[in-house]
Amino acid sequence: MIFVLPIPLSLLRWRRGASASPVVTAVPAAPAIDELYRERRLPLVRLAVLMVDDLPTAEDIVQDVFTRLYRRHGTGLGDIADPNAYLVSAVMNAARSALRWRRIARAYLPPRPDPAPAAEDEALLGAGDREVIRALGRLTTRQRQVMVLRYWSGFSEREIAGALRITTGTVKSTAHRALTLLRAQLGEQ
Amino acid sequence: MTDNDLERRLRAALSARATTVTSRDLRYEPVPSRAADRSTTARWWLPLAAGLAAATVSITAFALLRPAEPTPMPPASPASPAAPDSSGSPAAPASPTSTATSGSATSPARPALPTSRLSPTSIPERGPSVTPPTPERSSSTAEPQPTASEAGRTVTPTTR
Repeated sequence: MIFVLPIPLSLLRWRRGASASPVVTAVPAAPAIDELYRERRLPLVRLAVLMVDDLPTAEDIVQDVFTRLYRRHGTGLGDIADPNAYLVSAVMNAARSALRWRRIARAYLPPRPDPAPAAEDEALLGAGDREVIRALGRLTTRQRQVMVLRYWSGFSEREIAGALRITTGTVKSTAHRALTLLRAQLGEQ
Repeated sequence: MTDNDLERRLRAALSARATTVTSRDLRYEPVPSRAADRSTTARWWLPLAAGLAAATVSITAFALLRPAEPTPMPPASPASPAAPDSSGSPAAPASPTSTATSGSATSPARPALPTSRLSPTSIPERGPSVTPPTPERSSSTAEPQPTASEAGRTVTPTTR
């Protein structure tokens, strides 16, 4: 009844064949975004995990960031001055959106019990580290972003301001407030 | 707790949490260029195929389920009191059977018709107008139709 289905594939092949000569068999160079993806995927997933504390969500965030980057700029990435800074900023914004969505969902859905940590995490993370991570989760999203970028990524205040699109003064005040809160929480325990 | 202790503790905790995620923990995801190509260009025909299928289904359903055409009904002639016998239809109010029954069971809201019009004696007067035209009447018309008369003549001997 429908004879449209085989047509698009043949049409696509014809268009590809018309654009590129079939005689040329040279393998094209891998696009820059693919190399960037292979190099930067794991560090970005770790960065997102530190923000959202959830590996599947962190993987989704990083994959969405790369897909949006490809759709907007293509494979060349020639018009981006610093792709690494761009990716860090995009991951931070996406993590912030994910945390906001999670907060809204928790307001309307019944609370779920926190998943038990994996045995590997138990072995790798000591009790003191888990306390610090738990205290980081009680900070605001902006404070957590500044803490992660400053103490894990090793960014300077200026780089943090550029990645989060805030002023350097805001970075300083946010970091000071976050450290005060962390000291109060960890000192009580 | 001093600032240096807190910062050192923060760095250690963040590094430990980050190292729990290794490349083996990551699920397989295609390179974004291939994934975006597959999602956008390979399925552009889906809405087209869906629209064609919907149109085919709706046209077929219309062709199969539409009601049969009603038989053409001739327009009813207006009931005029001057020539009540010209219609000759059985549903006419001046038929003798209907008047015979309605004479006893007439509704009070409807006035009874005069008996001179509704009497059975008017039936012979209606006869000539309902019967087909006689040859004398056809010959008396201004323009006779020779083909009809010839056909009638030719058909009659062959059937006998």
